[in-house]
Amino acid sequence: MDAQIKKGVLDMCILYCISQNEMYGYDIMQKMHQYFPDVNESTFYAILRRLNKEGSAETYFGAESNGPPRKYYRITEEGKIRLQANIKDWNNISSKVNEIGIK
Amino acid sequence: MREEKFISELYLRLLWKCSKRERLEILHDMKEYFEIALSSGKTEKEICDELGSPKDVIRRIEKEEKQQEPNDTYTLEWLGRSIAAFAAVAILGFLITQLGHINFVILSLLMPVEGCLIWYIFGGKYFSSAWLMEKQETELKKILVLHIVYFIISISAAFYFINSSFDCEKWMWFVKEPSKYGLCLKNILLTVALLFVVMYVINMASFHKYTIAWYSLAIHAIGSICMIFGFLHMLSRISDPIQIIPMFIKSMLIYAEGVILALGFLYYSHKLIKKEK
Repeated sequence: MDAQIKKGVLDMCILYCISQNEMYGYDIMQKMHQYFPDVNESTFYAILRRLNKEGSAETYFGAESNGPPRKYYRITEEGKIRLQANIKDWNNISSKVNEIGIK
Repeated sequence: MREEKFISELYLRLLWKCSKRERLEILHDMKEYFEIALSSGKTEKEICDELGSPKDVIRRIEKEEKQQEPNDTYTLEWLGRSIAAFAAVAILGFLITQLGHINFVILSLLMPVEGCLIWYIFGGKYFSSAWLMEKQETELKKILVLHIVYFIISISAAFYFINSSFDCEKWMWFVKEPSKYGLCLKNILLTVALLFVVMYVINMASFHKYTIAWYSLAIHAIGSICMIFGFLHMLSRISDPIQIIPMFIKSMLIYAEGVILALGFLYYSHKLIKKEK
């Protein structure tokens, strides 16, 4: 996938995933890799780190029934605003693309 | 085994790149990833293939973060290297100002060797600690041997200094009871030197790869301390006008060499950074 398009889309997808469910890192990376097999797991990790640093996502340690606590990611208020803007942009672009006739 | 290798390589590669907090965070996340993936039935090989090499992982993280902030981690990296290079040269300065004529000849022969060593260990990106990791074990051992040689030279020089040219009365010209303080200092120096030998041997035996980078730094730091002592020693001889001139020229030359080397490192690393951008 083209790097420029990919960057925005992946951000949006990860933000959406963690806005629906609070997930731990491994889960997010695996799930995203299923949808985008050509993107490496550690790339998703790098994106998660950036989202966390930028303040769109935050982490906390969730208690597990067995084993050590895992690091969970959840969306912040700032992230929600950003996600809304991203989705709006995305819908806008895809409708334009459809209008042109690309299906 | 693969996991261990992955984590230790990651650790080594991160040493120069980020703060301790960030390093621990990344290592923790990767360990967690391994743990969960293993419990879900994947093999260590599969997990390593999934994540890519530690180098790739760091490259991806850096790529993501580069858009966010300018990379001042590199600034730290080349600053650290330049300081280390300067300190390394300082020990030579100390040796030359301290030792007699015969030793001076030997040392001038050793000088290029030391120069090569410093470049070998600290010379920019390609000779960084991460670079060491990429090399095979034999390469690593070679570097360790070079280090031992270097270490023996510096320690024997330190002992030489302590035992033969340590003139308490003259040296401690700034304290009122010279011999008392001088002896005290001598003992401290001896203890430090011995402790260092013991630590070095222990760690050599356990053969921890990532400690090598720190050891080279430690050796050079001790060198710079010796330099300060050497300089004080020189100052204490100011009363002798005939000796001061050649000594002054000698030490200035050595300082100049240190500065040139440090600037060379700065320039070289800066060029590399530019190229990478």
